[in-house]
Amino acid sequence: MSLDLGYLVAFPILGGLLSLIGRLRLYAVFVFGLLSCFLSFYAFLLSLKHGKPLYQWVGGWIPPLGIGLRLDGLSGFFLMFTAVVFVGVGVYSLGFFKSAYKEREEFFWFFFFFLWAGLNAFFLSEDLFNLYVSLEVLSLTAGVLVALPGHKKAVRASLNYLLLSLFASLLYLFGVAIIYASYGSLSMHMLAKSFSEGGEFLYSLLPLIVSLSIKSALFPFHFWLPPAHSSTIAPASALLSSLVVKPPAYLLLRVWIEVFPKDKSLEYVSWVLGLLGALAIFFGSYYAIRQKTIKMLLAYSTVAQMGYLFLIVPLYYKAQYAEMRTTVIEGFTMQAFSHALAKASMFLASGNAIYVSKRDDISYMPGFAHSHPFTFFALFFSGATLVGLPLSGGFFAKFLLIKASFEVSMLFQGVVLLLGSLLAALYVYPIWRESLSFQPEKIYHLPIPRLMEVSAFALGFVAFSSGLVAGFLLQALSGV
Amino acid sequence: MVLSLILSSLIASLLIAFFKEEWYLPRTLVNVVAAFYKLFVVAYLLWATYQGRVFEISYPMVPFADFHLRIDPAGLLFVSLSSFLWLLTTLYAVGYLEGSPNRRRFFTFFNLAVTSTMGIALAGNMFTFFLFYELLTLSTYPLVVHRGTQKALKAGGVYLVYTLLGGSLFLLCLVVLYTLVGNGDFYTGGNPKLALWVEGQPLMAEFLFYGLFFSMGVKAAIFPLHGWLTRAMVAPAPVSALLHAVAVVKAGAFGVFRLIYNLYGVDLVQSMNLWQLPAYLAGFTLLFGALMAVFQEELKKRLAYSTISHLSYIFLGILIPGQIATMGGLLHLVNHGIMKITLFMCVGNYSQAYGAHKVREVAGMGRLMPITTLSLTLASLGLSGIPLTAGYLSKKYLEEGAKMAGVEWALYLFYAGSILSVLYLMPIVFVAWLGKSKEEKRNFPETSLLMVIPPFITAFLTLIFGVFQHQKLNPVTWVKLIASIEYGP
Repeated sequence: MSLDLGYLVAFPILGGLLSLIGRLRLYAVFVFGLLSCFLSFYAFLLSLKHGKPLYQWVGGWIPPLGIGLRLDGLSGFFLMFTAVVFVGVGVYSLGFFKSAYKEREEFFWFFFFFLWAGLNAFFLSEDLFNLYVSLEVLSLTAGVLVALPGHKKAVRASLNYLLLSLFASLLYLFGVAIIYASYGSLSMHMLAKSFSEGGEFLYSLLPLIVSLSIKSALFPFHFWLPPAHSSTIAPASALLSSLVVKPPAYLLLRVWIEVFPKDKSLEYVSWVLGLLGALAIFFGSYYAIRQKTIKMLLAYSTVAQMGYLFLIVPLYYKAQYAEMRTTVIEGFTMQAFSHALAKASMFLASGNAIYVSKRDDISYMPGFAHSHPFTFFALFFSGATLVGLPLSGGFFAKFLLIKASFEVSMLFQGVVLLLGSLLAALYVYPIWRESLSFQPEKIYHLPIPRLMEVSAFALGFVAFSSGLVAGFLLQALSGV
Repeated sequence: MVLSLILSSLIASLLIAFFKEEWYLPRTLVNVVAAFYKLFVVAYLLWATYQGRVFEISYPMVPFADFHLRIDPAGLLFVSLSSFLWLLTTLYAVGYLEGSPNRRRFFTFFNLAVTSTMGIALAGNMFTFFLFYELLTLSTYPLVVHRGTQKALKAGGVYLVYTLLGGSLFLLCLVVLYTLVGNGDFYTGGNPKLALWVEGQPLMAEFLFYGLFFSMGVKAAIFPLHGWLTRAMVAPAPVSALLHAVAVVKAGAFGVFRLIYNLYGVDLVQSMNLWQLPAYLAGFTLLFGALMAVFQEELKKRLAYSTISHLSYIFLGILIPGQIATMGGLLHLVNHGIMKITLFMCVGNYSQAYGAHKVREVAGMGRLMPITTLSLTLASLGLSGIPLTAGYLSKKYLEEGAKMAGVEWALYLFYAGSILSVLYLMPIVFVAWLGKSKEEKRNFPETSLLMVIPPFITAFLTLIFGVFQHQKLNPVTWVKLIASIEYGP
């Protein structure tokens, strides 16, 4: 079994380019969508089987000149669920563009595939500069996806997002420049060696950390996210909210555990991030509870759910010791995975609700459980995943993380995790209640296209039932 | 074998989710076939387990805990109770919901709830138990709010608040269990690893015990955690009947059984005196529930408070040390299930046929619906503990057990509870038989046959179990087996 990792990036790009040709579009979407998905799963299985990281140098050039790609359990896992979300959203979009925004379809598919390519490149990249490049690809395509509906609100949100994101990128580049100037390398495993020998690494790491937290909308840098994720069309919202905010947090985990030295000063940094994560959970949930429109609610819920990924940063610091690391990585990955699937499903289902009721308000979705059971099932299962109820993947994430926090006796994290899931129940509950309420005169009868209903349901159901195979999935991470 | 118990209702649930709303026949067929199939499997398992065979299945779910299902006599008791009543309730629900909207969603979640009940009964460790315990919360929520009225939605909200808070407490205890003890497996006579840990940290062990007890107590509606149960009575009758009289509350009681007998072990619970505080609470709940029931006008509310009271019988039986008391508790778990489901079904019939919801509205039902009222009468007699009924039998064991353990106060509580049971159940019976109503008698059958026969069967069983107490097929045999296993020969 072997695989040229470059294909994982090349195929989506090819699909995106071909989708610009009007007559070929559907074929390109089908063929390259399936191919990319297949490749991602293959890569996941490969990483599962291989056990230890797999390095490849693009074009045979070895570092420091060449570009290094690395596939291990962690990146394989992220590749896999990225593919799942993309397939779900892709199937949804096939139905979606038949009914609305027809004139935007060609752009959508192009950026759809470029986003995929960017994500794959990001998860596979091994050196900090290459990561910067893929981060830029992500920001730019995400910016376009935000502006896709073309109305004023969306364009403004998109501009805000792009400006802030560019600022964050510059910060990142600044940090990278300092690191390169001081250590002469950007490859992660080389830096790990250099850092451990000491030096003034903190000055170079701080811009990196700040930049990453802006990009993944950590409190108090979250203000760009809700307008950006809520004003665009449902499939784009789903991609943005479930996937685009994850890579920075992923990178933070990666560098923290693999590269950063175990230095006292970093413990303080970790605590600052952890506290901000806790604040993100509380404020994100609080604002989510107060929202009247479902998309804003979901967007704020993303802020809260991303908070978990930062809340546990202090655990990274301790996790540099041996087996603790595995539990933290497992919890982190499960959280990212189940949130991605559940949030995508939630956004798609809310797209269905808006398609039927023509309104965004939660109070305008009475009786969804009666008129459109599949949309309700999607909201139900993905909501349960966000709350973290068993058997969902979200439950396993929380369980693992709470356990990890107990093991290192950082009870603060455990308590916040528990409170966070109760708060999540508070903002998911109105959606359930409204869709279960039954007023015969208010029932909608407009049928939803089959593809839209089924894809939203499937994502939610997979997110929920993934807990059953959590053991199998987590095997992939044992070698990291 | 083990899996098929769970899968049969899970598959039914999934199939029905994909059936169209108007596919009445296929849906009913799937429901009934799955229920019958499960009953056959249970019958086989009863026989095989009696022979001493062990069924087990496990696979690693997370690095430190397995997904572990196993069949032991205690679990099988709960499984057979719920799968037998499931069949009857399914038939009843088919009749009850005829012509009403959203049957597809109803049966999807109904079957999912039964799946979770099976999982709770079969769980071989605390982790698996917790998974299904929470799945039960999740799957019963849409059933509680099934009608979608404002009142139902409100009740559903209250239900979620109680159960989610309980679930969080449970999760916390679970993490403690798996972090500090490192093992939550159920063993006959208690988990040895836990026993070892308790020696080192008796205080922590006490907290863990009470934490787990209260997180089970939420579902079992022990005072002061009973608020959700009475409100959840807005659910359709089959839901109240199966879930709130049997599956959900008994899941809590069964959890306490697992906690005491298979996790901590009877000896440990006795030597650390852990049972006393919960027993006082249960005793108070017994009296409180019964007193509240007397003053309820609404039939379903009255039955709900009676459930709260009778669950405390089960709790006391399980908590009071001694083989006889345990037998009484477990026996009452079965008998109360059978009797209470009868009562709920009968009350559901009254409201479905003549719109009678309150005690005085059932006047004349004896004339209008004789079979239903007969079933109601039998079950009421049973629940009050009148001789020759199943209820008498379990109460007799409970009283014997309390006497033997020297727990005098429990004995008096049992007497008081029985007297109060008579006070809150007999008025219904008298009003139904002797009261006068202006309603015209409708033709036989009283209402859909599917709704008349199930309660009649269970009412009949109340009598059978009470009269033939030495037959081998009586639950007493099985309960004896469990008690002898848990206490050693």
